[in-house]
Amino acid sequence: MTAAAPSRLAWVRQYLRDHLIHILVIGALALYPGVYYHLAAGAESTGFWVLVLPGIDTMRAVMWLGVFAMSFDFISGYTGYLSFGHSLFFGTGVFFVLGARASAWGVFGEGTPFMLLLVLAMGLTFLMAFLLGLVAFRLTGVYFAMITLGFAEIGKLIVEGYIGDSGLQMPGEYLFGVPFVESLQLKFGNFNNGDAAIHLHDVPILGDVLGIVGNLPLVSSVLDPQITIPTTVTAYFLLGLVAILAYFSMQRIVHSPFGRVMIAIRENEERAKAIGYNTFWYKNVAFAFSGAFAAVGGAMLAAQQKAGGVVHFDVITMAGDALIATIIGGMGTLAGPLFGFLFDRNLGEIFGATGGSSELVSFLEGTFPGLVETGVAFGMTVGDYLGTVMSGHAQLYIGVVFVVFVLYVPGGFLGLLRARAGGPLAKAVPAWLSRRLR
Amino acid sequence: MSVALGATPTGVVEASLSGLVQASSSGLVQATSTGPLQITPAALLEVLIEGLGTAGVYVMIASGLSLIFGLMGVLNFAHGALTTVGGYVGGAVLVLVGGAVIADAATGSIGVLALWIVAIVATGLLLALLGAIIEVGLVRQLYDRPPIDQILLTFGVALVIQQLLRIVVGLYEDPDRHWTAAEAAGPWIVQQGNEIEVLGLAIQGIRLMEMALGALVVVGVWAFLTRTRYGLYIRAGSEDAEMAQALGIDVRQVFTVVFGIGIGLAGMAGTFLIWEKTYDLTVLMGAQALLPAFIVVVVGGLGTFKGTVVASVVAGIFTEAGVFLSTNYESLPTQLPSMLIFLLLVAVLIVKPQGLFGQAEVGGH
Repeated sequence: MTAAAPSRLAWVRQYLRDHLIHILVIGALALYPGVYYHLAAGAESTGFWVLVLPGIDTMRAVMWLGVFAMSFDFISGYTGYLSFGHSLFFGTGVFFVLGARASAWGVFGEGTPFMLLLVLAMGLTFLMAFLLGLVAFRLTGVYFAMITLGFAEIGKLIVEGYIGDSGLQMPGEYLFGVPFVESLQLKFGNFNNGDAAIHLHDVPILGDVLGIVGNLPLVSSVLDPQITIPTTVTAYFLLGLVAILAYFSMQRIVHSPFGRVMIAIRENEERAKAIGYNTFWYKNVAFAFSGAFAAVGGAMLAAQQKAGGVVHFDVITMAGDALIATIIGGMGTLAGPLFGFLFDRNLGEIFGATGGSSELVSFLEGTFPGLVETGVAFGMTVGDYLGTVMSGHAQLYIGVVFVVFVLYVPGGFLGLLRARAGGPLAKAVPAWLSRRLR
Repeated sequence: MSVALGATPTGVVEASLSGLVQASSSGLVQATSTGPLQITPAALLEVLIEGLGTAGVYVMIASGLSLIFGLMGVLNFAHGALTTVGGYVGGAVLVLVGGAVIADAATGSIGVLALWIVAIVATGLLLALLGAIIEVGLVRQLYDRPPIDQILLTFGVALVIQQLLRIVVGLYEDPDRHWTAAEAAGPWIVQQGNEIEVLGLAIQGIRLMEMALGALVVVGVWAFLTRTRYGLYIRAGSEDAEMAQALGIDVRQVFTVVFGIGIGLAGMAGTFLIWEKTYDLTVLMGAQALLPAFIVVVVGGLGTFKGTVVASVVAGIFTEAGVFLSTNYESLPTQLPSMLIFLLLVAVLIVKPQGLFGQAEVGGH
């Protein structure tokens, strides 16, 4: 870098500065499977890292739930209109993709590219949300929440009438990539044994680079030079890619003049109206966007799970979870809800499912043998107590955290970090770094 | 509340080429007549009675919610969970104390009836205390914040209560199955299938009790609001809390009392719901009871108890008309009754956004 060409490189440096946080977070998420396997792989379920770190399938769920929660925050956090209807759009995304696979809509068939379905699902829900908004935005506050809830429940009951209690399952290949270009497509979803894992050292250029790097003295002790990406992790990367695209799209909208009007509506709608903005249309279009992104989350779930049910339309389950994740993560920040879901699902994984043994109990059994079997009172052992109070009851502790956050930390994790940093992290961290490195 | 979204749902319906298949697992009720729509006076009367019964249930659940919403502007999401708590508390009283009473055949049925009334009242008092504690401890902290935060808080409280209940109940009973022991401990009149002749018409005992208790709640709350000094404070606070405070009324104390009364009413309703067949006494009963209560309160209008009562009657009759139509005419979906109540909500909110009797503003917020 010479001083002779500052103008050509200045924008690159500025871009890197602005997006430092994004790069760090995305990098961390991308490297996460490697870290996880290194620390917890092959380990018995009693390892400490297995306890604390979320598993890959949890992370996959966090991806589409994160997108869903981000779309929820997009409307509720930035315009201030709490919407309980997002489960409707999420479910529509799920069922549109599944139904298209099943040729239920007449036009599409088995081989329809996933990207095409994704975009069409977004278009459909955009329209749905727009129409719904035309009706709903005559109301404000609690009434708006109630009418979106009403519509979502009606939608759920209609779907229930068609599907019944059972769900819809459409196995098959979901290819993700540039549509109609065979060589650029990778497979989604849970795989059969026939699918081969990706061996990074077989990839043309990357494999050579990795081979060289991996054999360097320092690196080879840490890094296995033959890196294989299991098929489950490929799905994680693909889902992550979709999530990143969705996040950046939403972020672009929020940081545009349109987004400023959304925030103005949240701060003081009457003043925004007085200045001359047609707040009704801004709210409506914002709601339409948020519905479209909720459908993205649903489509991701459909591609990964290849199955869907009425539960994905259920308001209290889905919108409730999204609300909790958003508050814990940080309402009004776009990335907060994803971290909120990370926390939520990780805790759920630690505490385990009802009736099953939790990771916590396994960890204690492994680390302090005999502790779990110790009888404490009433003929129950420590293990029994933990099983009663913890297994399957992650929601209790999440609820407590939620209440505490609503009372004392209304900004959520990310809001707290922002308050400490004195501004959005994307601005504060580079500024702090540049001060330190001067 | 958390569904294992990573799991595949059990049961598979393969989609056909021509469209999505109507599943029979949703319990389609067989038609009793496939002829043209026959609306006989007997059928109308049946719908009316069932409708009033359902209205009684809605009023019982929703009256507490209406008081809280009207005065404090707080849509209490915890109402459903606390209704469930009331159900289990009442059931526990009946099961624990009732064994001795039922065993004595001589005082049998009167004793059970008296115990039942005692159980309902005791539950009401206990839950009123619980409500007051919740208000003082939690809700009070958020008065300076926008109403959304209070709603979020009650949502969190609902979640915590539901999970705590799941743990506690799980120690003794299956939290997801109806508590049959509690139901069996109730008096004869509310047991399933027992009918009483009124004016030549056989009405189920439970319906009569619903109508009677519903009417009692309406009259009681109305009398409390209009005939007592405290009721006057509540109505004044509903209209303009700041002005009421300026006049020397301790609005904070009124809030606590109203919250307590509201939750107490919810608890009593919860105990009663043990015998109402559409609600099973499980940990999830609250979620079932919550939505119709919300709808009734919002449709009736913010700040008016009269609105809640009228909306309960309308919603009750609507729902039962839907049940009648969908059981007798196969072509209509079975989800119709549940859908009708939401359609009512949406329709009213479109036509009259403040609800049927609502005023545009509350408390000068």
